[in-house]
Amino acid sequence: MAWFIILAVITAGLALGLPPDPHTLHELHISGVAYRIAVLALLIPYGVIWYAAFYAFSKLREYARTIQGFEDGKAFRSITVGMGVLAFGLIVPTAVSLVMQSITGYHPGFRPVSAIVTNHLGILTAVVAFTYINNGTHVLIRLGKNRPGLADIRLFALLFITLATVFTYLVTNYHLQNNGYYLNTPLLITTLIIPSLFAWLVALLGAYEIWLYAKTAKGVLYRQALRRFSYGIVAAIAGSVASQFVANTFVAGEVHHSIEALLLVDYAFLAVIALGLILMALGTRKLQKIEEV
Amino acid sequence: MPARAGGTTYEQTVRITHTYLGPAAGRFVDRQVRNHLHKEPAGMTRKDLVRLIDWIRIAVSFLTDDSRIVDEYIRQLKELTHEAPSAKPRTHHQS
Repeated sequence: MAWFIILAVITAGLALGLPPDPHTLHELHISGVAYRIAVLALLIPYGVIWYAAFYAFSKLREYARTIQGFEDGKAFRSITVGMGVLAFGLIVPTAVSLVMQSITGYHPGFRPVSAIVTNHLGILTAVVAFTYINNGTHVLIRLGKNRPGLADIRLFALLFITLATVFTYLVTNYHLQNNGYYLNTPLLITTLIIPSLFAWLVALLGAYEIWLYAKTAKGVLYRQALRRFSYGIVAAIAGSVASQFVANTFVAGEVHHSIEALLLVDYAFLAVIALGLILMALGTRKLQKIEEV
Repeated sequence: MPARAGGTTYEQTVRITHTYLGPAAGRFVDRQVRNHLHKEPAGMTRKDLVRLIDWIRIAVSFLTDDSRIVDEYIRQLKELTHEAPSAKPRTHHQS
């Protein structure tokens, strides 16, 4: 939890300390102080999410340490690493984004660099985090000798194809409209669309595998403890994917939607992630209890 | 019964426990034997299991409020204490 405190203080310091964009102040007709208070207020829900993420990560790390050396220990270690990357990935890009926005306010030519760094940092985090989580869930599936059913595979394929098609359509559409991503088409496809879709594929696969494992694992009491954990990880992954979908389409594409509506949608997804992370932490505590009695 | 088919007392105890604690079963039984009997799990005998059952009941009661699950688990372990062992305990691990 020390990392949470350090990073949260740095981010809050950046939000309060960095000079606001003069154009934004002019557009919103507010003073610098009012702007800083507004940014800080907007960051509070994020703070709750960051806390939940680091709390879930610390509980998972404790559990993974308890069972290290065992087969399921390897799986939970990998899931823990993924959760750690996800926890840091929630807070670090926000801090970087605050710095980038501040620089852009005084050097408008820096906007493309800011957009590219912010977008790709989120994608990189997602690829690494979800790959680790999926590595872990796959070990669990192998241990439990669980095989996905044909209906599940078809439903999963349908869900992913729909997500991929809508995402690609929106990104290319916004790219052609105003090039909000500041990339040419080949770079947009290879560095934004493909990595995003890959991250979401492994994320959804991880969510499906942990759900399947929790449903079919041996041990009635173990399964009860695992159920809450699996619901949590499924909700956290679904919320993260949905949040990134919005960030990489409507926000990154610089499409002029209502700011209030985008914020509301963003906060709704953040609430889902927070709920998932809390469920994960509670489930992990139950799993930990099995190892302590 | 397939859950208790063959093996040492330790192996049969883990097999029964697996129905309740899944992959945590081996670790759970090991911990109970080491903490309460102060011996290596592989060297566990039917007599040891009789002494261990009450400890296991207490431990599992911390994990669930469902007394039916606890009672069924303990009943299976008690049944095991009445059966003749099908293999001798492995004593080479004993400290």
